[in-house]
Amino acid sequence: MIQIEDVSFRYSNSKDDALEHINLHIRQGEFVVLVGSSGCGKTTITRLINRLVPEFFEGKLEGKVYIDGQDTSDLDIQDLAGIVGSVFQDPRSQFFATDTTAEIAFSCENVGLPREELCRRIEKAANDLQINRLLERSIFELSSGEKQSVAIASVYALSPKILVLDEPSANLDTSATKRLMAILDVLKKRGYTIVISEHRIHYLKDIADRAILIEHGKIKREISREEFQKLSNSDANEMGLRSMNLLSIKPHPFDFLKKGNDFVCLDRISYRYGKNDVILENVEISAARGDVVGIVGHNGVGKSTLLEIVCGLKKEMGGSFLIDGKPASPKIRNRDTFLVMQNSDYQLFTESVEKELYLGSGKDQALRQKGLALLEKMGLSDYLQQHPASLSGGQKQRLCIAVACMKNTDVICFDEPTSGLDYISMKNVSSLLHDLSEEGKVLFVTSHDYEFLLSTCTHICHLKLGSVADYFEVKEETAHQIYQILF
Amino acid sequence: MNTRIHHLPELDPRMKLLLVVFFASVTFSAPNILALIWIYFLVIILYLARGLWRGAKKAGILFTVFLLLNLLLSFAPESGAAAGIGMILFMLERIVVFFVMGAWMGSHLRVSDFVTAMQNMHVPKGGTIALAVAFRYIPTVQDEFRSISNTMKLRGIGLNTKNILLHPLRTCEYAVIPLVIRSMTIADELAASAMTRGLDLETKRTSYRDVRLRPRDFLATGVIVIAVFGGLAVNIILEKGGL
Repeated sequence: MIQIEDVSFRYSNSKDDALEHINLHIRQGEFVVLVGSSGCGKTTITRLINRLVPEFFEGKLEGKVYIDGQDTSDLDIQDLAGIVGSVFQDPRSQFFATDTTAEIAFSCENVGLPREELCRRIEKAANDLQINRLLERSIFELSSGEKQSVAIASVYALSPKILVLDEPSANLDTSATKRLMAILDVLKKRGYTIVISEHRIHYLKDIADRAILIEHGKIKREISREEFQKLSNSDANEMGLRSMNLLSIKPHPFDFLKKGNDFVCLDRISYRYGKNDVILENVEISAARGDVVGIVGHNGVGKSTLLEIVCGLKKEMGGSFLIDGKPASPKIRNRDTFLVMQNSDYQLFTESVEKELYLGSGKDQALRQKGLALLEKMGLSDYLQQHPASLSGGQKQRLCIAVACMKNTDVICFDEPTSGLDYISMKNVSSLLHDLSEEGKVLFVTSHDYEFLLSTCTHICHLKLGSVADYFEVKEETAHQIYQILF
Repeated sequence: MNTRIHHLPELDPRMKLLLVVFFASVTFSAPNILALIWIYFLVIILYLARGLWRGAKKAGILFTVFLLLNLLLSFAPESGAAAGIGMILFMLERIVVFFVMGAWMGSHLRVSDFVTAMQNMHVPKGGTIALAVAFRYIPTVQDEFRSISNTMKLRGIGLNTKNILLHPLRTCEYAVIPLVIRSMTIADELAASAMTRGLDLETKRTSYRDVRLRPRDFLATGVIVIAVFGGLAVNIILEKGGL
């Protein structure tokens, strides 16, 4: 079905080859997982298949790619629309319509199917993927998981032969990932050829026919179905992949004995939208210096709202907020806290890494020293004069953390810091958070990344129906409890 | 959770575009403040007619601010500076109608219907796609902007009166740069996704919704155009009578 023959590719703005002499044959009906750490070239291979490389992302291509027996160098991206369906990482930026039904119809409209056929296809897609309840909805009220289902339905409606998915689970929580897995299972049973690039592999364990490990643009190893299922956590981690068997992950050993006084206290904090729409009700949290509090719970339970309240971006409607024993108004919290968002693009304002660091603070000798030391620690010293927009996602995130440290606040919040991160980057974030914790800062982290929560947090705060359902220390005995909350 | 989209009888996208262009051009020929108020009023009526309460409120506030500024300026002693500011205000309070009407068209716009409608008018596809992406992006911008202004607050460069008055240019720059960078990424991803789904195929596009001009589209548009001209005519007659 897919033949990639000795393909090398270099993006036109890059000095290094993204792919080197790739040979890959994928049979009809096969389910192939491309694995490897970020930047290894697995996304580029998916782009070869839908021809975004070299047509949309330009560069120098050598070798041949055949899709369904046709040489793709004779074809355009749009000619492949009926053969290859593509689903991307960020469900927010792949929607063209503003309501779900129109979105599912979109590909079919483009190829000019008659209206009766269109309606039939929409119905079939919704039935087969069991998303009838999502029809005729505004896309702005869907969760990321629901959006991803609609995105798959949209390409499914055109009934292509091949489905290419680029890290589809990166923005999904665990229950949405489960649903994604169920949909992929349906597609596989219907004989679709599926190629998926991922580093979160635990949900693909039982469905993958074969995995291809990519390293530095080369195929390092082919992993058969049996080997893939038996892959141990340490093997997976060594390849830059997330752990395969979540239940055997051990929590980070913390020293709970040196527990100090409560530094941040949320006392019966409540928040509502409008008059009746209760988001948070009587939330009580106390955290001491050095605590890393993981906030978990289902989508829409108010995790992000809670972080915004901690940072004073939203004003609580009831209850009181104390920092170091003193009442802290939202204005004081604005000054004394920082929020590292999921997407760093919103957080960087200037034209160089250096200026970014000193924005909003002075620039005396002591601060300079501190800034340079921070950049050194974050591995950003070589990028002092670079534009923040030219950094990689992980580098931008570390720059944001450096900015937070420059602000010299005692409370730092992180919103989903590891969505889409491979094993090594996740570990790096985790150890940065440990360092901050050791300096005596209080950290609040929202996440549904089980592996990250276990290796990072000292406490777990389980939000349910707007209040704290559970608050406990992370230890070996409680690991199972966290697993049950998330899965 | 299960709120379904209301299928109000909506005006055809072509007529909406026509109204945007019409309002933008007629505002520039508005001879005086009374005519401008009349146009502002009709714009708000258009928002209300589509059930866009929030949009109507925002437009109302924006228009009121402009009118108040106008009033304020009329008390200022005559001078070069006042004349200069007056000139800028004159331009701004007219340009704003174009943007407010653009937002009116963009909110709840069914982008795929828009593309089909443009195709039926034989507009070249390149232009249509650019416009469609722009309209699709408007609702997203609001979300993005909220995140940006939140961060600005935390970094002590917030969009508050003090910063805007003391460092107007710099504050503006801080607000705009992340938005531009973010927009470029999103536009790129959106374009890649649209291409893999055949948006620029040469075949004639179909639409699962019925997109065509009905008599009521012409009627509604006609009524609005007549209302605008009618108001302007009354205004001119009043002015003549006043002389």
